[in-house]
Amino acid sequence: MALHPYDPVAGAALRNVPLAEVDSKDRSLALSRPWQLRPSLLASIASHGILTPLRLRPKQNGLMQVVHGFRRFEAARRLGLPSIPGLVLASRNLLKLFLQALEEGRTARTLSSLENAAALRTLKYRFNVPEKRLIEEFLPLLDLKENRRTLRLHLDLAVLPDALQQALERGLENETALRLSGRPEDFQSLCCRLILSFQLGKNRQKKLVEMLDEILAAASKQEVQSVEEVWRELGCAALENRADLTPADRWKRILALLRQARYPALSRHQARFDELKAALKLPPPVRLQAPRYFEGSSLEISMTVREARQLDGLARELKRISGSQEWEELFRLL
Amino acid sequence: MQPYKPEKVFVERAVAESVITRNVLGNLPMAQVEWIDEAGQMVDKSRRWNPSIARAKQSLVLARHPGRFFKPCPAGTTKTGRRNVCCNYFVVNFASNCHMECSYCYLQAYLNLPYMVVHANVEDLLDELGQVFSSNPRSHYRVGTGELADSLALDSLTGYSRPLVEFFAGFTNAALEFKTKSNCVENLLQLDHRGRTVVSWSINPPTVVQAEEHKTASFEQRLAAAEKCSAAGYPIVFHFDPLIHYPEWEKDYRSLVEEIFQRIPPRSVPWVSLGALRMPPRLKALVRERFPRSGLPLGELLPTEDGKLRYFKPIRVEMLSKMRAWITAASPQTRIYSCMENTDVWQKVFQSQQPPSEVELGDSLLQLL
Ligand code: SF4
Repeated sequence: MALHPYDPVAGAALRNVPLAEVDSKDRSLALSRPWQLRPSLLASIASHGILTPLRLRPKQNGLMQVVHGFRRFEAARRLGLPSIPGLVLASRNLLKLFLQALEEGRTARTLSSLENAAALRTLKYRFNVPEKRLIEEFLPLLDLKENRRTLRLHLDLAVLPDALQQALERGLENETALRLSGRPEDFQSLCCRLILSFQLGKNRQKKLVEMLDEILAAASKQEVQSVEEVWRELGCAALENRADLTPADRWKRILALLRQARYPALSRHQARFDELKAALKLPPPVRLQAPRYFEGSSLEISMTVREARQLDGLARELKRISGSQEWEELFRLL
Repeated sequence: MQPYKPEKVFVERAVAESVITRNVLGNLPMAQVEWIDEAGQMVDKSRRWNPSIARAKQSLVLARHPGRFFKPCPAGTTKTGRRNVCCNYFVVNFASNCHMECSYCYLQAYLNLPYMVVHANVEDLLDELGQVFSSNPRSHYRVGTGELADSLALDSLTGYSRPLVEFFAGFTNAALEFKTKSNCVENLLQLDHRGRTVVSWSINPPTVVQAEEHKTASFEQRLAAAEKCSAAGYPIVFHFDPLIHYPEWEKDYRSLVEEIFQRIPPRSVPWVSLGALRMPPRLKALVRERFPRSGLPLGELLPTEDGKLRYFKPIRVEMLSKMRAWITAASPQTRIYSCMENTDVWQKVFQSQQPPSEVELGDSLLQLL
C-alpha cells in the first residue's frame, strides 16, 4: 500500500513492509554494523516511529533486501515494530542502487572511517570496481587521500574483528587496530583496554603495542604465559586499579614498569644516573641532563639565572662539588 | 648452504655473449630460459612485491649493468649526515639480492626484489676498474663485491670470481674482497691470485647461525671453506658482524674466536672487523613480521644518532671490547677495526684518543697484504 501520493524514485513504490518480509541476514550493502546503532536513534524511533522510509529491493527468494537504512531497520527489529515504511525500488541495477544509497548517506552526514571502509570493500569485492577507479573516483568522493595506501588501509579496516572496530569508534587509531588485528585476542583486548581507558594518542598507542608485543614475545620464549599473567607479574595490573592515583600518574608508572621490563640495562643505568644526580644536590636552577639513551660523551648542564650575583653563587657552588666522586661516576656512565 | 637453483632465467639480449651468461646457462641445463630486451623495467615493476611472499627469488635475471659499477662504500655516511668511523672501502655491485635468508639482512628492507639479479657485463666492470686503478696509481683501493649480494653464493653458477681474481692479481694498488656466508670456494682454489684477493666470512656462533642465518652455510662449512682458501694462499678475513647479544653470548663468542684461530693460521688473517647488530626501525618491524621466532628485535635496541637502532651503548662497548681482547689474545698480529660505529664507541673500545682517518685505516689494512 502506497503511503504517499508521489513516487520520489522512478519505478519505486512506498509501502509499509512487514518486518518478517525483510531479509534481516542480508547485510551485503550495509555500511554500518548492528552495534553502531546510536541510543538516540533508538529512542527517537521508539517515540516517533520511522520518519524516513528505508530503501528496499525485492529479492528472488521473495524477501526484501535492505539497500539503505540498516540502522533504522536494526532499531525497528530491537523495538519489535511489526512493519517499516520502505521505498521499494524496482531497478535491478544493484550497483546503481548502492551508489544512490552511498550518495544519500555521505551527503546527509560525515561517514565514519568504518563506513568508508565498508563502502570501498563492497565496491571492490561485491561490484568488482577496479582499484584504479576506486582510487581516482571514490577516495576523493569520500574525502580520502587519493592513493593506494589509503585504499589498502580502508579495505583492511573493513574486515577487522568487531571488538577492534568498536574500539576504533572510541579512539583506537587505524594503524594500531591493523597492527593488533593479527595478534591473539587476549593481547588485543589488553591493548584496547589500556588505550581506551588512558585515552592514549597515536604515538603512545604505537609505543605501547610495540613494547607489550616485545615483552610478551620475550616472556613466551621462556615459558608460555597468558597475556594477563605477564601483565600481573610486571606489577601493571595492580597499578591499573589503584584508585588513589590519577589516571595520568597510573599511566606514568605503568609506562615506567614496561620500560624497565623491555630495556632493563637502560633502566638500571638511568636509575643510577638519577641516584648520582640526586646525591650531587645541585642547586635548583641547575639542570643536569645525560644524552638521549646515553649515546654521546658529554653531559649537558644548564641553568636559569636572573642576576650576576646569582650566577656567581651558582658558579662557586658548582666548583665546590665538581671534584666529587659522583661526578666521576656520572661521566663513567657515558 | 642451501644451493640456489632458479626455476627460470631471464637473459637480457645485451649480455648474450658474456662469459657469465654462458656459465650460468651451461650450469642450469634444466632451467626455463626467457630472452628479454630490457631487464630494468621488469625489475622496477617488481619492486611492489610483498617480501613476506615465500615463493620468491625463483627467477634469476642476467642483465647488463647500465651505469657505473665502482663506488665508495656508503656505510661511512649516515642518513642524518653524520659520519661513522669508516675504512675507505669501495664496492662494485656485480649482483643484487641474495637467496639466503638472514633474519637481520638489510636487503629485505632495502632491495625488496623478487628476483636475483646478476650483472653479467663483467667486461665493462673490469674496464671501469682498470681505468680507475691505472689513472690513480698512487691511490689504494680495497674493493668489495658483497654490498647488495653475497660475493660467492652464486659463484658455482656464474663463475664470476675467476675474471675478478685474475684481474686483481695484476694490480699492486688494489685488493679485492669477497664477503660471504657461503662455502662456495671451489672456483677460487686453482686461481693465480697473487695475494690480491681476500676471502672473508661474516661469522657468528653456531647457535646464531642456526637461529638467524637461514639457508647459509653452517659455521662448520664456513670454517672448512676458510681452511681450504687459507691452504690455497688467500688472505682470510673474518667479519664478526653482526654481533648478537643474548644470555650466553660471552661463552659462545669466546669459543668461536678460539676455534677460528686454532684452525686458521693467524698469519693468514691480516685483519678482522667487529660490528654489533644495527638496523633501521622499519627493518625491525619487518623482522618481527617475517621471522616471528627471531630474538633479535627483542634485544635492547635503541635509536642512535644516525637513526639506526643499536644495542644500548654499554652493551655494545662491552661486546666489542671483549671481542677485541679475545681476538688479540688468539692472534696478536691480526689488525682489528670496527666500522659502523661512532667515534665515542670507537674510543672506548680501542682506548684511543682519535680514530684513524678512513684513508689511514684503509691504507694500513691494505699494507697488511
Ligand atoms: S648472506 Fe648476507 S646478503 Fe644474504 S641474506 Fe644473509 S646478510 Fe643478507
